[in-house]
Amino acid sequence: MSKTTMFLNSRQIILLILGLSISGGNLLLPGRVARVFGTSGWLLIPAAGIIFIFAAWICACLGRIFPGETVVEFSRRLLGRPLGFLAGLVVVLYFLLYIPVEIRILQELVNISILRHASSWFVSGTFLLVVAYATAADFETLTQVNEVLIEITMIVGLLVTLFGWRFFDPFHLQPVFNAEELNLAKFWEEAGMIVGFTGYPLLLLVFPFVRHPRTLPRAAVFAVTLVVLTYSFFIITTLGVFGRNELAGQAWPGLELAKAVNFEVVILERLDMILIVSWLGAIFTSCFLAYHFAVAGLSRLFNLRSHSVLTWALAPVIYYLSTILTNYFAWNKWLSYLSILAVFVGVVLPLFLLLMAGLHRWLGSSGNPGGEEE
Amino acid sequence: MKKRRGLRQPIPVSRAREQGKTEKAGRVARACTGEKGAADARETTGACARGLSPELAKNVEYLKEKIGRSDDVVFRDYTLELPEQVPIVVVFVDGLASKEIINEYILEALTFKGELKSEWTRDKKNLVRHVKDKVLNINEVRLVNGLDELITPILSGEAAVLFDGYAEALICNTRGWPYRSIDEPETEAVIRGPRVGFTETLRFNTAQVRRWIRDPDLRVKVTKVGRRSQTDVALVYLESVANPQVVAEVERRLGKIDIDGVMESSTLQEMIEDRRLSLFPTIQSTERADRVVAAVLEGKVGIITDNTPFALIVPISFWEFYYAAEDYYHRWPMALLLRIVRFSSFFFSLYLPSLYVALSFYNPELIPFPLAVQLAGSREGVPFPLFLEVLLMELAIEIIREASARLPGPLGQTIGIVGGFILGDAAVRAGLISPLTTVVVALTAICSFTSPNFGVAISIRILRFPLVVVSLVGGLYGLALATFVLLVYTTRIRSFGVPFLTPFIPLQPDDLKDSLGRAPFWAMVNRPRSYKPLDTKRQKTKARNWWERLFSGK
Repeated sequence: MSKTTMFLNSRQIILLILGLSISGGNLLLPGRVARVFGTSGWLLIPAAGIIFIFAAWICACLGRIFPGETVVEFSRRLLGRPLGFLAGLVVVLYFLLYIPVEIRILQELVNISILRHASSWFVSGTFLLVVAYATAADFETLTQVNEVLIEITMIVGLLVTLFGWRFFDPFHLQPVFNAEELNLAKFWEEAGMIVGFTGYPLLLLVFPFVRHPRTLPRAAVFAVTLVVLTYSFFIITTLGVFGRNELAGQAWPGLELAKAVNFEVVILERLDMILIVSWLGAIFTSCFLAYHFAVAGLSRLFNLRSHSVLTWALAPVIYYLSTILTNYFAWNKWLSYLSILAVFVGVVLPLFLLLMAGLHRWLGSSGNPGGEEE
Repeated sequence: MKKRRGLRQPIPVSRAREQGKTEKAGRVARACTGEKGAADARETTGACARGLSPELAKNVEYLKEKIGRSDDVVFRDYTLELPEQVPIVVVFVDGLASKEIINEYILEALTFKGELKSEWTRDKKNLVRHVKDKVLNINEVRLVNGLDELITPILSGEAAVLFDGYAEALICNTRGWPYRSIDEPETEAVIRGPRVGFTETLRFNTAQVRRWIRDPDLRVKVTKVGRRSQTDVALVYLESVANPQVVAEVERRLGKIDIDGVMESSTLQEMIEDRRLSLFPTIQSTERADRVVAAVLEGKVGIITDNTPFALIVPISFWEFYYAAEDYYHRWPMALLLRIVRFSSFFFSLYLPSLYVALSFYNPELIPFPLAVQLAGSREGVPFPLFLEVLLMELAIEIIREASARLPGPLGQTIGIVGGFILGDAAVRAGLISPLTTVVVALTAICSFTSPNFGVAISIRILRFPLVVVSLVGGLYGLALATFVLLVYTTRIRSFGVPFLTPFIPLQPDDLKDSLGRAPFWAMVNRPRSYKPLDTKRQKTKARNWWERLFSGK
């Protein structure tokens, strides 16, 4: 039977954004937030969330203005060939640089839990091979695999977080806005890290596959709101359970929470292993989605046809990049750079492109069609 | 056999048919003109379309040349005692045609008892038609003009009657060969439900389906597959329900088969399935008539092949291999329980040995302390490493299973008892294997028997071995990666355009009513949407309460 043409409905778009958002970084996020913003850290997510929801809405609006095109095509039309190419390249670069850090997070996670003393090449290499195998598949398959894995991860994560409320102490969330703890200078870096894990920039590359572009803004806003609520709930729980001081000293607050809520189960001694194994699924989905969008973006940038060949060709590059991040400090620094890139790709670029689109339309309506190239 | 690379390319059915006809016509034309290189075509296609000659001797000579060299083909000479004598020959295959029908309804009828005074006996011009319409008391008689049109029917058990002086012959349905009676299939027995299975005779099987579905929309389309075997293959579907694209696709794929003979429906299965190198079957086979009927009612297509009781059903999802026929004959709570048991067994049969190896090797801290102590104690003195122990035990189970399947009934059971019970016990006592490993492997084997479908059970059995190796190398991490690979792989599989993991991947909420459990019949108002039937409604809702309305989607 002939291959069907893939069209995404609203539910799939929401799950794609969730798939890229729920990843290894979530297990680290509460610790970083507590270190930078103290007991007020839990307010950071809703505050940054408002910005991201707005940015996601802008991305979706671009999809409505340019249906059937990705950022690679319409940025060329809006900014001219060289600048448009550069904008497309930055988006691709964002997705590409996202993967090595996820791989390192996974390797660290595996090494501290289910496969101690395993060499890094083995963990990273095998994972990358599996991710490349998945990415080489068609987009429809990826979307469907993402649907099932992300739902499982969300359910397990929600259960663990809910169990955590047995130890929740609301006083751990106070004092709010303590000036001594608040490091507002780092707001954008942390916000960038959050946007790095929020995943909505993928909207810039899925417009041609959207069944009803009119519903896109609503789906995007809903998805990012869901992500913001999930992050907020998770951070509030960890902060409420551990308190600021303990949380700031933890590298993996998510895992610590799972260990804390552990209770006697008949077959398994430790419940946190279930969270870890299911979180491998979350890292897997976020990696293959980022990988797919990097490959799809590159294919469009350079007019390359073979998706699978490009996928396998990029694998050694990604593996090399992951080997650069030798330790916790190295990939934390990488995360900081990625955060800046994320703010550019997720907030600045869509806003700028929307303004340019408005400008082009205005110039076009006032009798100057010169803005519409090609 | 020809290379069949082109099969993957979607070609419209009409075009494929036309193309086939043109190719065949070309081959036949070349053969008729004696063109070089066409000899093989002449052999396989039955030569050029040759008309019947008015001379009986020429026709008989041609048929003797074609099929008469075999001793089982009978040429019975006879003379019609009409006002003017007409020599005839009745040709049939001994053993395939019913002698009773030939004697009583052809030869005896042709003595024209009481008919000689009839006016038509003097109408020499239309004699063959008159014989067909007024003499032969057979339910199915047809007139043919071509010599080659006689050969396949004769070889299928029909009798040909040739007349001297006429370029026409009659084909009479005299099929009657020894056959097995209808009984319950041993491999798909049920506690409650109809005890009928298919037999080796195609017509009996299609009749069974017709007995269940007395709908004028039920289509039974017979096509021949196999150049030499000329096996009848029947497509059974409801025209107003089945997805026409699926029907056309099945016809197209069957039409593409170019093989000398079809031994069993498995031949067709391997040649028309979507991923022919896949470990998982994408076509369901069954011996039960009621399963085919249920599938046809859902909008699927049944493929019934002559000479085998195993019918094929397309399209299919993976989960359906774990549905048993009697899930629909018990009340829904029982069906729900049985499905849960079966799907849990599927999980254990796939993962239990590998989880055992992974936890024992890499993560013993996950095993509850008393069990871990027991495990360590039971393995004391065992000479083999755990991994090898599990693999050897798995292999031993497979050997015992294969040996007991090959031996006749009681002996097979004995092998099972001796191999599984006595040998296992002796091995544990001798300290060759640990009792816990025996429990794990035996439990896995028992779980694998709960699958109602043999094909998918084999796939799971095969997969178990690489999973044990993966768990040895990578522990739980390796198992997780292997699961991701399996998930991506199975998600890519399609069965005649239908996703293999539906209704879970992609999610079809309405079809979940008949998946891991079964909802009551009153709640299953719609046919499974995954198969895109033309008529989606199975019943009008009879919802009595709000929760019934909720379930039945009203």
